[in-house]
Amino acid sequence: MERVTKRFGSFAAVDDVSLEVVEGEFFALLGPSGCGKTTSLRMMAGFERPDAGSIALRGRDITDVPPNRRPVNLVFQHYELFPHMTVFQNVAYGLRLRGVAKREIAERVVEMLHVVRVEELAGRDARTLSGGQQQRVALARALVNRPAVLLLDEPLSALDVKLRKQMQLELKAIQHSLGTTFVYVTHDQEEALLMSDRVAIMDRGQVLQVGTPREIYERPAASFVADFVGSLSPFEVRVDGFRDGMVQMHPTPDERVAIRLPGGTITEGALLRAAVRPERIRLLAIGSVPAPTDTALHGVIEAIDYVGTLSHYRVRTALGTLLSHRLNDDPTGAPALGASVTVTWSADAAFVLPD
Amino acid sequence: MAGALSGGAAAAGEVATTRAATEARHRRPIHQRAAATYVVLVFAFLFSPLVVVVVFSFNAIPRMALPITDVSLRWYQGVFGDPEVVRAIGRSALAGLATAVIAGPLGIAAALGLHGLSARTRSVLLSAVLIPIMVPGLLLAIALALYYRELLRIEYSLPAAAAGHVLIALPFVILTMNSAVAGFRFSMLEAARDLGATRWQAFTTVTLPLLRPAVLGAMLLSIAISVDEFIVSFFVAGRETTLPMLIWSRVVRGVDPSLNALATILLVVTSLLALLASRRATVSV
Repeated sequence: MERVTKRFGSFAAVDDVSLEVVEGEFFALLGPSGCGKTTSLRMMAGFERPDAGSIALRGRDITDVPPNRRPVNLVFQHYELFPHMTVFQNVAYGLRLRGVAKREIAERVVEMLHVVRVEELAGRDARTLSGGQQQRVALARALVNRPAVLLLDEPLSALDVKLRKQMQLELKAIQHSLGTTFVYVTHDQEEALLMSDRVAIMDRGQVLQVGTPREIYERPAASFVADFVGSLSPFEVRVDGFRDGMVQMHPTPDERVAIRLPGGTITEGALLRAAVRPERIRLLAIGSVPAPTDTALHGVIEAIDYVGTLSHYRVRTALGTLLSHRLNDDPTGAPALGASVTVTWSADAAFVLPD
Repeated sequence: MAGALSGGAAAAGEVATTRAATEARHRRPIHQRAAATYVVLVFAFLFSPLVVVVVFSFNAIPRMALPITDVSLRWYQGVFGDPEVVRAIGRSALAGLATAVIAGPLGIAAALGLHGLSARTRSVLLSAVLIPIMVPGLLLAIALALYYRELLRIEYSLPAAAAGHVLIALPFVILTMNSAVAGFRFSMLEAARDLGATRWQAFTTVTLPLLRPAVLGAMLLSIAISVDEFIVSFFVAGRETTLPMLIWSRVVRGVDPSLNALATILLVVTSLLALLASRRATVSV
């Protein structure tokens, strides 16, 4: 997609967006509802025509090619299986329209039903399937056409959590074994990070950042990205000085905040907006001393939310309330509600929030 | 042994419950019994003329008086032996089929077209569609007669009458189709398009099969309306007498027991069609 804009009335659903998806990758479009991700996907499928810009596939401009003549297929959010057909007929639909020989259709349909692991459902009425089965059949119906790109519009959002987790891994495995390019729209950041090779974060019709899940999570290019992907504790501190490529900050004389110096220059005395991911913040019992280059702050445990594997701690410090996740592997060492602790993180853990 | 015993006990229990039910029925409050009587009377009022016609169509003697001493199919034989009647039945069937074949597709197209409009425009147009239903049939018939003769200069004939039947049936077809179309998932057409279907292929392979029950229902209804229609046919069918017109002309001539047989045939055919139509229309997606 190059410089694509799509307006609905005066509202620009997609505003001057350029995206390049590499052949064979699992590419996620991630963003809150109304960010333009589904509209982008629908333009790739051919259901919406861009008001400006162009869309090309393997070097060929397909901006004006109708959906039925594009070598891409879409897995719809609500599957849209044909209720008057069997599973086999649903999957065979695209091949039949293309005039593929009957025997080849049968072979390819069976093969694809095997890939999505529902071969035993071939003769079933599409109406009688469960949500998970419908999902698999919808996937087979699209993939059997061997599209250059498979577009997926929040395909797992209608499934329950357990099935969704399982399908995430399966989808990833299917993508890997077929080598088909996947463009996957989701509002679930965990899903996007888990499944994709690269993620584009969208907000209000614009792409804010494109990168690998690690880049997105660890080096967010915008505050929105940092906030939307994962949780974090933002704070503001005044810069006191630099030493060894690190910003020095002392909210109170016996405390310090360590942040690795980012690329830009920071003037002494400036107010710096930064953040730390909760799993990087450690809570030490009073008396244990953090490394001299690490952060050291006084903290009081304000709240503890137990969520199974982890406990989420909210700690009041001079920087405000910080969020810390602690693995529940050793209940004896866990700080109690109201306890005083030393809050620490390594300088690498914190990042400056872009404006 | 134990089985037989428990079986006997169950039977005894059953008897007890039936007796209890019977007593309960007897003890039912007066207002409930009054309501039941009222319902029976309403149905008697509605159906007794029809019952009279049907019963006397099987009477062996041409006198319409009770008791019926001998049952026979002679009037039916007479009806089918009468070439004038057979011709009229043929014309009615032809007009009915023509009405269905024309009103059906027109109605689907109209309903699908309505769906593409804004909700406001759609509701205005749907109310407009209802107007022909409320116009008195006589007015419509006179209007059509004038329209054909003065404006179009068309001879009164069976096709002219069938065109009138289309006019009468179309609002019903549109209303039936509209409710079917309202429940149709148009995103399914996007799925078809995405899989390589042209607009037309998507229509024939997805829209039409899914709307088929409603389409068939609407077409059956059209046939029933046409076969039953009298006033418009009377004005514009000319000498091509349809079945209701024939019955009318014979009634005018005087009482003829074969009319009972004819009316019964008409009754059975139209109620069967209407029944089938309502079945189809309700199972629509």
